[in-house]
Amino acid sequence: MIAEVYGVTPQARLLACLLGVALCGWTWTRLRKRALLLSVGSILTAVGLGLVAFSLAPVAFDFIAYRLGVKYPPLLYLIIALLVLAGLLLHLAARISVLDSRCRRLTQEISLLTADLEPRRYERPRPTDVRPGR
Amino acid sequence: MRARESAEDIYVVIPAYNEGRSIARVVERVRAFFPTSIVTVINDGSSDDTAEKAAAAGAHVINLPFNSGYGVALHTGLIWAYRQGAEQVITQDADGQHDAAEARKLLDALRDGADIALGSRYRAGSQCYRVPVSRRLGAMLFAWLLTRLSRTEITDPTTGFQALNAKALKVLVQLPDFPERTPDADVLLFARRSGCHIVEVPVAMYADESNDSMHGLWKSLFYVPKMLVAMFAVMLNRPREKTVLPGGGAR
Repeated sequence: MIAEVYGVTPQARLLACLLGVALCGWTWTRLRKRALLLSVGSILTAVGLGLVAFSLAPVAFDFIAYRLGVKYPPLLYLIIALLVLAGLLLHLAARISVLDSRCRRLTQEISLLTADLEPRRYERPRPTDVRPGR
Repeated sequence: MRARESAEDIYVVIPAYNEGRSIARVVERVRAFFPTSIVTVINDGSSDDTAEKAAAAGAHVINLPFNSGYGVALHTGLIWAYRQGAEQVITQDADGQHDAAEARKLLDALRDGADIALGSRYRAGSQCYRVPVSRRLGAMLFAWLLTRLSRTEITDPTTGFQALNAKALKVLVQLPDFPERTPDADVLLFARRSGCHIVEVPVAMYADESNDSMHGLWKSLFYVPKMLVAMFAVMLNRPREKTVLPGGGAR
């Protein structure tokens, strides 16, 4: 039997279950408060549910690994973990790039508006030369 | 579009970060040579008295709320000039490297039909301080690459001493992702691909008074691959005619 060779101890299953439940709980709490991106919350929920599923039926994961041709099941877990992390990294990198661009534009707009609203603070050299925007 | 003769149209954009020691002299020098020009200093979150000294010297000051990078400061100044309806814009550094007296040559190049006139420190006839070998090699690499990609002979792609006409100004303001730190060869390549005629003019340049160049050793090492990727990204993008301007302003 697979479970006899690569058995998962009850303690490890309990730990995986608790981690999964905690991750799902934290994610859903943040989602409820609208303090987490829905896309990131989806990924974390999938990871949490995966941990719970693993704790309930570790043999099923080993079976899937063997069916995929992976002789050493923990290697499959490592690959899945790396893929999830890579996906999260790519998503966050894209998200940060967009936010950085928007933040920069807002910064520029704030500066330009402030410069227009505070003419007394820094007196312009020749106000009459500055023509209104087209 | 031909540049107008009137000096009233000249906007001078000077990005500045902690240049309290030199900014007043730079602004005064510009105002001495172009008395009717509108000098705008973009204070890039300086922690010293750059803004106060620039204002005291007669410049219009735009304050960025925090240090955002040379590119962001420059782009902010260009947007401001664009919204004021500028026909001719001169950009120069705040550290005293560029001499306002030389800007006349750039404006003459605009008058002769160029859209962007670059002040070159490497072209024959220029007067240049001693540039570190690493920076010189980097400049040569990107000059070679830019010359081939843009089919325009360029020797100094990192110069911040430039003159733009209204057409080039519009192109640069509408650049979707203006580089945050080092708007050099990639911006010129974008402008060229957008139909701008670029001309180089030999000018005199002097050593950075503060000796605090943007291109330090580590930054220089990172600069090369970053700029190569940036140029590749420009080559991938087709210049668009209509782009939403930052803030929604359009003309």
